Formats: sequence, structure tokens, C-alpha cells
Amino acid sequence: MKRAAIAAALAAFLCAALGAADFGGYVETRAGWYWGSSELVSPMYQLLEGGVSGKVGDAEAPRAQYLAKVDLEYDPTAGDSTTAATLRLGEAWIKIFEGPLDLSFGNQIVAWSISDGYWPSDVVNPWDYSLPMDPQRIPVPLGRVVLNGANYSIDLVAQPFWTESILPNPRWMPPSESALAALPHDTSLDAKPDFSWDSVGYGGHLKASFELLQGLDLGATYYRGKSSAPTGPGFTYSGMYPSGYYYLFDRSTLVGADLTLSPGGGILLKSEWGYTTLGDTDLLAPEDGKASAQGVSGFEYTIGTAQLEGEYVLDWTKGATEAFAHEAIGILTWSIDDRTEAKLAADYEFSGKGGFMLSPQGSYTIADGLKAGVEAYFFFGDKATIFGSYSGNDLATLSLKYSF
Amino acid sequence: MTRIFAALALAAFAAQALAAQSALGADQVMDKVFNAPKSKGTVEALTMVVTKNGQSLTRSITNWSAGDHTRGEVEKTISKFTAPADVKGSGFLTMKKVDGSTESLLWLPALGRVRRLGSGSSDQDQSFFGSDFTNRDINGFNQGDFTYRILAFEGGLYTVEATPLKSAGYEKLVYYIDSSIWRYVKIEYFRAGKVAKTQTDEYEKIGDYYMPKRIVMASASKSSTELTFADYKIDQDLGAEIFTERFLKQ
Repeated sequence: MKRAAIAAALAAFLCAALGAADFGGYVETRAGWYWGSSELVSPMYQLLEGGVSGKVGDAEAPRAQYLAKVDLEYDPTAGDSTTAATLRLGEAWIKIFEGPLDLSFGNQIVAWSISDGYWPSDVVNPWDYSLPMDPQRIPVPLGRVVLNGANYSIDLVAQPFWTESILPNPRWMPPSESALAALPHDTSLDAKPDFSWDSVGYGGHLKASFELLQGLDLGATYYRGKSSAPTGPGFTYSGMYPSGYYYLFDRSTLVGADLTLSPGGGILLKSEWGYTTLGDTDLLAPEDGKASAQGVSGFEYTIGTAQLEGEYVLDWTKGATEAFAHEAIGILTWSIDDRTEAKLAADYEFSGKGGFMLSPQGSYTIADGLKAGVEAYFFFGDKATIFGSYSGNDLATLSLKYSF
Repeated sequence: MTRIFAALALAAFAAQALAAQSALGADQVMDKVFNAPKSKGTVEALTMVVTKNGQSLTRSITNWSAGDHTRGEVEKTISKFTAPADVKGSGFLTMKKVDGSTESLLWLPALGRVRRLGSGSSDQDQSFFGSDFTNRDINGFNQGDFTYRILAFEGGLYTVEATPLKSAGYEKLVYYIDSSIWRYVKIEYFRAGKVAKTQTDEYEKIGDYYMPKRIVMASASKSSTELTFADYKIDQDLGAEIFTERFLKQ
């Protein structure tokens, strides 16, 4: 709260000092209910995101660019008035353009992944898994340098502080973990991140574009850092530290590659793969349980105002009882008119007897900047599958968002 | 008698010559329209108002464009949304090659990602951001994809019927061309023997060029879209650094 307020004040000072700036943001109210239950998915919260952004120098060829966002979340259903309002720093960075280089510092989001349903290369930012089927990236302090060439870019990042992902609440945890997950564990997002060389993350992404058919992009990723998600099962502990439930967060190394090809005819082909090792295990001959690979391959097909997207996901863990897991994701989006969009997302898990998720979604633009949305999620299948274990969590949400 | 015939023949020849001066052939008229001088590189601010059932939505866009197919160049455009707030900052880059293929990139600042788009012939018939224009209407037609026939010439205004040689999204088009500036001031788009949409164009002279000032597309379904252009910068030297992912994201 205090850090966010200081950052907001600094951002305001910076913008005042730099002159021209745009102020913008949104107010959103959202409510959600679990199907057949009085429990709320998300409280009837109101979210106000305000931000400033601007450019230094010529608007068409700026010397620098900046952005600062602050979120104020208010939950009127919270019993404790001190926890009803939360102030958070969102993205807040300055980017300097120097010749072919873009140098940026501050709270940033790095999106290297090319796919829409699964993101093997997006390992820099921790994730908010509160609703695991709709995870959100959490901006974190980063130093970043991008070298822009004619048909390529090299994007290098350094992350000085480790930040943990927000884990799903117990309702969305596997039964073996859910009872323990509510207990305090070793770090929390509100804690001031301590600097440690062991926690520093660094890596980069290379992207090259070629004039093949209607465009080909090839990418390569390397990142080494402390994993933001638990890398092993949690355990209970009592000793010199406060007793509680602890997760392990190992160092991890990711090597990845991606490809996007537009052959024409309204088709786009994509494939992205990542290979991850934990700790100091050998990259080529890892110990059991210390290496995994995730891959996603798919297509997009656009016809008229509709788009169909299909992705196949493969997840492999060395030495696991079930080493391979498979998923198929389908997304159909239809822009009905200038105001209305409908979407149907489906995700099928091939494990056991199979499980799947179905999510119809829709949005309607009421007026310029004012949009209403509805989303629902339904889960089916074998209780041994992830989606099957969620079968009591069918839910629907309504939202109204005004952007300014 | 011989003198009378000679006089009549002379008069007929003179009338033909006059007609040739004032009423060109259909292909010649369209040559003048398609090959009218164009700005080398253009920057413009565009406001689009889409009205349906009496209710309007507004989008503001800044466009950077360069290249000309008639000169064998790739036509490049960068468009950045400046309003409304929920789409502000997003933009797209399109590169139309001479062979008709198109490369497209979309910048989504909320996701922090540039997405490549799959382009196909059906894209051309999609609505341009929910408006009454299709992408084809916005991008313009290729002269060689039609045969032309003059329907009328009156008061300096040519009426030219354009019949497509291959699928163009319409059965035919009828252009109304102002011969004083060689620009069309109205286009009627026909489907199933009826006018499906009517486009009217107003121009302003900027430097050596007549640039669109206001375009209205009215659909038979009672919806309409108005495009208003402002802040033109013409003959800009838009270097290669403009039509890049980096500029798209700035």
C-alpha cells in the first residue's frame, strides 16, 4: 500500500516534470457466483485503475515513453474495513529510445509467448492464479534492453527481485493440497522482496521475421531464475521459523523456441515449445522430476467476422508416474456487429477418462468506452482429471467497465 | 448537293472530335481516376462514427501510409487508435504486396503482444471495425479487376458502371466522377440487382492533391458510417523505421 502510494506520487511528479501526458484508466465492477451455491466467485468488487502515460520529445519519434498505473480495489462485502480497500501498483515503467535500443526500467510485463491458451515462454512474470482458468500476469520490477534490427529483435531482461505467483484458493486446489494451502507459507506478495543473488532472474528472447508466404516469425527463448510457482509438493514445518505449510521454489532454466507462419487463405499456424530444468540438474541428462517440457501447436482460421482457433498442448515431466499429459483447446470468436462479440472456449484434458471445460462468453459495447460482459465456466469429467475435480465449481460472472 | 454532304460530314467529324475531347472512353476515365497524383507518404487523423438504430459509436485513428501499387511498390499502413479509451493505444500494421497478398500485425497493449494475423481473400469482405465499410472498400479496388462502361456524361460528371471480372464482394459498382478533379464523388454498390450501399465523398485540395475530407457510407439497412479526415501531412518521407513493430508499439 505504502509502496504503491510512493510510486503513484513519483509517477505524478515525473509526468508533471515531463509536461505533456495522457491520463486514462477505467472503473470496473464485477460480480460472480458459483452455480447452485450462495458463495461468491469474486466479491462484488469495484476496481478503479488510473494511470498516466506519455512521450518525451516528438510524438512520432519520441526520446522516451512512460506509463504508471495504480489499482484501487474495493470489496464492500469484506467484513474488516481495513482489508476492504487495496491499493496496488500496476505497470509503472520508463522506456528510453537510444538508436536501435529500447531501455526500460520499472514494473513491467514481458509477453514472449505466441499462443493464446497456454504460454510456455512466459516465465518472467509471476501469475495470479486466483481463477486458474483465467490467470493474469503480475507486473514486476525489471530492467530490459531490446535491440531492434531490420527484421529481428533481441529482448534481454534482468529481474532483481523474486516474486511468488498467487496460488489458487483452496477451492481450486487439488484435494491433497487444498486443506494445507490455506495455511501460511514462506512468502507472500505483500512482503518486501529481499535481494538475493540466488533469486536474480535473467534471460532473453530472439525474434526474426522472414518474407515467406504472408510472413514467418521464428523465436528462441532462454531464461534462468527462481520459479514463481511451486516446483514441488508443499510440506509442513515446525522449527526455528513459524510453523506452517511451506512450498519449494527451485531455480529453473527454460530453453524455448517458437514459430508463427501466415500461409494465406485466412490461416495462421503457430508452435511453441519450452524445456525446463530445476535446480542445478544437468540440462541434457536431468534427474527424475527435475525436467519438463511443454509444447503448444495450433492454428487460427478467419472467415468473415468469425475466427476459429485450435491448440494442442503437450506436457511432459521426466520420471513422473504419468509422464505425458495432453490437452486440446478450441476458441470460436464471432464479432456479431460493431457492439457485440460472442466467444465459446473449450478445453479437453485427455488424462484418465477425460475431463473438459466449456466457457461461453459475451460482451456488448453500450456506448463509447462503456462495455458489459458475461462469462460462464462449466466443468465436466473424471474426478481424477483437473477439470473433473473442478466439477463443483461451475460459475458465472457479470461485469461492467467504463474506460476513460 | 455535294457541298451539303461535305458540310454535313465536316459537322459530324467536328462533333465527334468535340465529343472525344469532352467525353473520354470509360477506360480512359478510370485511368485518370486510378492514376491521379498521390501523396508519397501521408499522415492523417481519421474519425469514424458508426450509426445504427440512431445510436453512434466513435473511433479515432491516426494513419501513416506510403507506397503505391501503380508504381509497383508495397503499400504500407500503420493505424493507431487514439479513442475511445478502451481501444486507445492499440494499432495494426498492414503491408499489401503487389501480388495482392497482405501481411498484417496487430498490437495489443493490454497483453503486451504483437500478433501476426492470418490474411485471406475473405478478410477483404469483412466489416472494417464494425462499420458499413468493408476492408475492400477502405483499401480500394484494383483497376484491372473490372470492365467499365460509361452510362452518362452530364455537367462534367461521368457515370461509369464497373463490372467485376472476378469476385469483388459486389455485383457491380457505379461511379460518379467529377471530371474537374478526376475523383469519384459517389459510388453505388450493387448486390442482387439493388443498391446495397451508397458512398459519397468530399475532397479538399492540399498541395497538389485532392485528399478525402469526408466520406459517408449509407447502407440500405439504414445504418451509416461517416469518416472525417483532418491534420493531413502530405509527401512525408516516411522512412522504413515507421512501418515496424517498434513504431507500432510506441
